[in-house]
Formats: sequence, C-alpha cells, structure tokens
Amino acid sequence: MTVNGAPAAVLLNSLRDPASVTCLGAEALDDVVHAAGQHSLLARLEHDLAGPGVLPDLPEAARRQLACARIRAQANAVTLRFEIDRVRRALAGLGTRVLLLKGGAYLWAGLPPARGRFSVDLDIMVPRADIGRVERTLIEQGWRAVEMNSYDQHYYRDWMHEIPPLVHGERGIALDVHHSIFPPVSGIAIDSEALLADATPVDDGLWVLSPADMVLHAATHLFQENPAGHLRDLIDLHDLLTLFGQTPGFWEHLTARARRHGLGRPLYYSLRYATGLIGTAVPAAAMQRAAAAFAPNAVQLRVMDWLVRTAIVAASPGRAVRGGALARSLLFVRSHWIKMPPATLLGHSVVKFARSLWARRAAGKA
Amino acid sequence: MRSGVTPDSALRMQFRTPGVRLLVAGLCVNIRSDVSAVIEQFLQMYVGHKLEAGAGSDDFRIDISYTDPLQRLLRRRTRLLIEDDAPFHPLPHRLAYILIEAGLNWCISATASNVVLHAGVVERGGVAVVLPAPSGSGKSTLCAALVTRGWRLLSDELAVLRPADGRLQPVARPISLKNESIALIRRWAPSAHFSPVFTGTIRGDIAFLRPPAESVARAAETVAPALIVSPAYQAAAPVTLQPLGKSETFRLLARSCMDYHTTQRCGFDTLARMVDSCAAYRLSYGTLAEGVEAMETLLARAQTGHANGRPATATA
Repeated sequence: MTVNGAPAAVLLNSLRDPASVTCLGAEALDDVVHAAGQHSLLARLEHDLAGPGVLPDLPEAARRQLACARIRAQANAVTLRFEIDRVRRALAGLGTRVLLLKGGAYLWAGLPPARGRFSVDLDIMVPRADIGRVERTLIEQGWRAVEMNSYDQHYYRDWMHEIPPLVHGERGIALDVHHSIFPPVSGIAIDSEALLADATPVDDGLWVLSPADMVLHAATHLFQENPAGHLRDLIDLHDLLTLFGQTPGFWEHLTARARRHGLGRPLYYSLRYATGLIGTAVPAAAMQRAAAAFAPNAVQLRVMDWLVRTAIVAASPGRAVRGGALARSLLFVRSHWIKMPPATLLGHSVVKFARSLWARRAAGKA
Repeated sequence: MRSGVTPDSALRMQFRTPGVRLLVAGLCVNIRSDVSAVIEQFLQMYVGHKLEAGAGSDDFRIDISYTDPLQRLLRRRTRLLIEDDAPFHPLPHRLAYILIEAGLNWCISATASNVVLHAGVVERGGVAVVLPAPSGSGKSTLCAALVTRGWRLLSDELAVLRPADGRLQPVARPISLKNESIALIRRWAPSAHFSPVFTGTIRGDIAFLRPPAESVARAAETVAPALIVSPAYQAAAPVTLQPLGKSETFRLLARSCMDYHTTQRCGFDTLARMVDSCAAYRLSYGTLAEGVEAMETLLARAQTGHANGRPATATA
C-alpha cells in the first residue's frame, strides 16, 4: 500500500513517527511541509513535532510555516468555540437535543483529532422533527440562509441530510444543520433516532455522537467531496479508532452499529486504509469480521486500492503521476454514485452540467 | 530588453521549472510561470532583488500559468496557484502580471507569524512613518511621490510588523498605481520606471512603479515605527494635520490590521506597543505637493524630538 517517496506518503510517515523528520533531506522536508499545507495537516504536524522537541532542528522557513499554521489553527479554535457557544445559547430554550458533529464535536469534547484541526464550518445535528423550529429560531437570532436558487434548495431539502447552510450576519463561519449523517436519497437507511438516543452528553447541555457513531460518521466522509481533505479525514479516523479502540467491546459494537446504519462498506474501507496507510492498531479479529461482512469483491477492492494509492497518496501538486487525474475523477464520480441512486444522479449531473455551461457563457460575455 | 537590464537568460528558463526564488518581506517565495510576458515584466520590476533559481525551503510556492493547454495555445486565460489553490479568478494573459503582485500580497498577509497592516510605510533619516488608510485614500500615490523624492520605500500597502521586536520588515516591491494616479506620478517623476499600463481590470487601469534601487538594496534593514499618519487625499481640500489620541489610533490600526483576528493576543500586544511608541495624525491634503510637504514637516518635527512619543498639539 505504501508509495515510497511521494510527499503525501512521507507526510503520513512523519505524522506516525514525528522524530523521523529529522532524518529527511532539505528538499524532502520542504515537500512534506507543503504537502501538509495542501492537506490541511500543517498545524497537526506542528503539534505532533512540538511534542518530541523536533521543531528547533528544522530549517527556518519550515519552522515559520509550522508556526503560522499553529497560529491560524489556534485562532480557528477560538472562533469555533465562540460559534458553538452562540448556537448553544440560541437553541437552549427549544428543549431539543443539539449534537455537535465533526470538528465542533472534537473540540468541545476535547478529543484527539481536535489538535491542529482547522474547521471552515460548524456542523450540528438535531431531530428531523425539530429542524423547522431550529431553522426559524436561528434565523430569528441573526443567522441567515446563504442565497441559493430553487434547484439547490430542492437538492438540500429533499435529498440531503442537512438543510441549506446558514451564516450569521456578523460572523463568517457557516452553520450546517443536519438531521442525519448521510443523504436519505442514497438509500442508505441511517438510524437517526439511534444516533440521537445514544449520543453522549458533553459540557453546557450539548451532545456528541456515541463513539461508534462518531467513527461511522467520519467513515462516511472518507473519499467524499474535495480530495484535499482525504488525508485529514483519514487522520481523524485514525485518532478516533486509536482512542475508542481501547474500550472493551468497542470493536464488536462498531461492526454491529455499522450494520444497523447500513455503513458496513465505509467502515471496511476506513479500517483497511487507516491500517494500510497510517498503521492504525485495529485488532486482527475486528479486521477479519469487517472484511467477512462488508468487503467488496476482489476486483472492486483492487480498483479501490489503486484509486486510493494513485489519487491520494502518490499524486501531489507539481508531481504528476500516471493516472492521477483519472483516479481523482473516478473517486469524485464514486462519491456521487454512493450519495444518489443512478436516475437521480443522472438528472442532477445534467442540471449541473447545463448550469456550468450557462455560467461559463455568462462569464465569457462579462 | 529595455533600460540596459539584461537578465540572465538561464534564470528566465528556470521560471518554468524548478521556479525562481524571491526573498521578500523576510519570506522565501518560489515563483513559477510559463507565461513569457509575465517573466519579462517581473524581471523588469524586480531589478536589484535577490533572485535565485531553484526550490527548497520555500515559505510559499506560487505558479502563474495558462489554465489549460488550449488556453496556452490561444495565449488567453491565465491563473494563479498558491500551494495548488486558486485564491483569485483567472485573468486574461495580458493582465497576468497582476496575478504575481496579488499572489505576493496574499503570501505576505497570510504569514500569521507577523502582524500585517493594510498601510504604506516610508522612512527617512531613521524615522519610519506608517500610513494606514482604506483603499482609495491615495496611500500608494503619496508613497510613490515620497519615494521619488528621497524617502525609502518599505511598502505602499503592507506594513509588516515583527511581534518579537515591534520593528517593521521592509517589503520593497513595486507600487501599484491606479487610474489618474498613473499620469500624476509620471508627471511628478518623469524618470521613474513603470510597468505597462494594465487596462480594463476590475479596478480600472493599473500600472506598477519600480521601487527605488536604494530601497531594494536596503530591503533587509528593519526599522522601528516612529509616526503614524492616516492620509486622505481630497481634491482641492485644505491641508489639515490633526493629532490622534491613543485609543483612536489603536482603533485605526486594529481596523487596518489584516490578521487581527488570527494573531489574537499577539496582534493586540504588537499594535498596542506600536501605539505607545508613535505619535499619530490624520492628514488631509488637496495636492500631492502639499501632502509631501506636510510629511516633510512631520519628519523635521520628529527629528528634532517634538513628535517623539506624544502627539503634538500644533497643526500644520
């Protein structure tokens, strides 16, 4: 699974074994720092290098970039914390359970992926039955809907697991309000009631997903959307699995929970690539159980291995890899294929394509 | 090739790969480009800067190139990538040079280990004057007028403060002039070296003025801020020089600070230190000559110690 010498591979190695960066040549170190920047892992790298005291040995430009990333991540954490508190206050009177998801949850619950993590938006989840009240309340309290045409409104409200993003009038950070962790249109039947019922209480009346659900939510993000976030998502998974994996019974529960939510395949891939690329400690029994229950056939698996290796690990900017662009496109298509049934996806693609042509024409005239 | 400048043709080739390293504002930026006109314009504007071929130990890597092979063939659309991200919209090939300047601004203001103000900085006789003002107040024009009359240019729009010692880090890059200012500075300093005029940008016409050679040569020489002057050009307005109190000065700096929210406590402390050590004024002027004269008056006052540390009560 390893791709020797590729900056992303060296980056993963540096995160696994921070002291190893002192053995890198100037050029390789430079590549690692830039790769970390591109994958939003620079502040995380800084944090993990600062621990073993490796930083003072690095060249000045690398140290400066790492220090800047730390400053930005610290400011981001302050902003995110503030925003969480505002949302908490806004929704406190509704008597509904408010869950923090992803970066917000890691930060508020003090979980390991929060270190050096940069969040561009805040994600929360509420019961579907309350989503209308929650949206109205937030709008009354100064948030507003991001401007959007009727097709995009329909995309969010009828197909997705979240309503259109909200932004506070005086602050920049976007708020995504979810009622599930995967699009209902996908056909994957997430048990949202169980997500809410089994959530863990954290400070100030807020909640986060239970450990197994938190891992499965992170697994749904793997290889979705923007490829620049793929490695970071994998690191999130690594941190969560490493922490929660120490609890007796966690791995059995995780497999059962994946079956319940219909997220067996994403879980299998998460375990496979976290162990293969980062060396996450997954018990052999847990790996075998997941493979037996959720692995795709051998051909599909080889294709997926190639996609991950080529699109995510080997490829990096300024370093073209044969098949890199193709692998990235295929992963992108795959992420939509999973999200939508074929007929819906076809219709959606036609609309998106027509609109991109229209936008290009309009831009050409301007 | 103009004005006797003969940049090494080998260096020109290096722009394609592995890129050319520019030391600017204490940073090392690797610049790549396959747009020949951009490379020529860049070499013309960065005469005297330390340029070396190669990559490695760069703070940033920027790349100005055609958006795709078809656009290269047609010599049309170019775009800027910073670390593989495109922070700005693509521009037509003839405006591509603007992307380098925008990209360098982006790199300097994204360096959160410094505190960066949207302000011009000039220095003379050891007195550094920071000129914070919103876009359109004539800050670049005033900087251009001053540096073509013997002042040293640190920057026409980015004041880079080092939190460790509160000193200003010179930037010494081309001054960007817009619309009427271009002709005004051409008349003011006929021998100054300009880039071509880039017409039809979203801000109208833009031309860049090459910084004085001495400012470039002294680009590593930091200086402590001594005066803060917020300039406002208003056609035919009388010259007024109004002292600013400490809290008003702080508000002015915080508003101009581009990374005030990112730098948090460090940003606050750095600005507070600057406010404590500088006298501050608001300057309105109706002609360039009056603006320059007012600045010279302030300089003379600072050098004789009157303006040192406390706002003077007198007006010009």
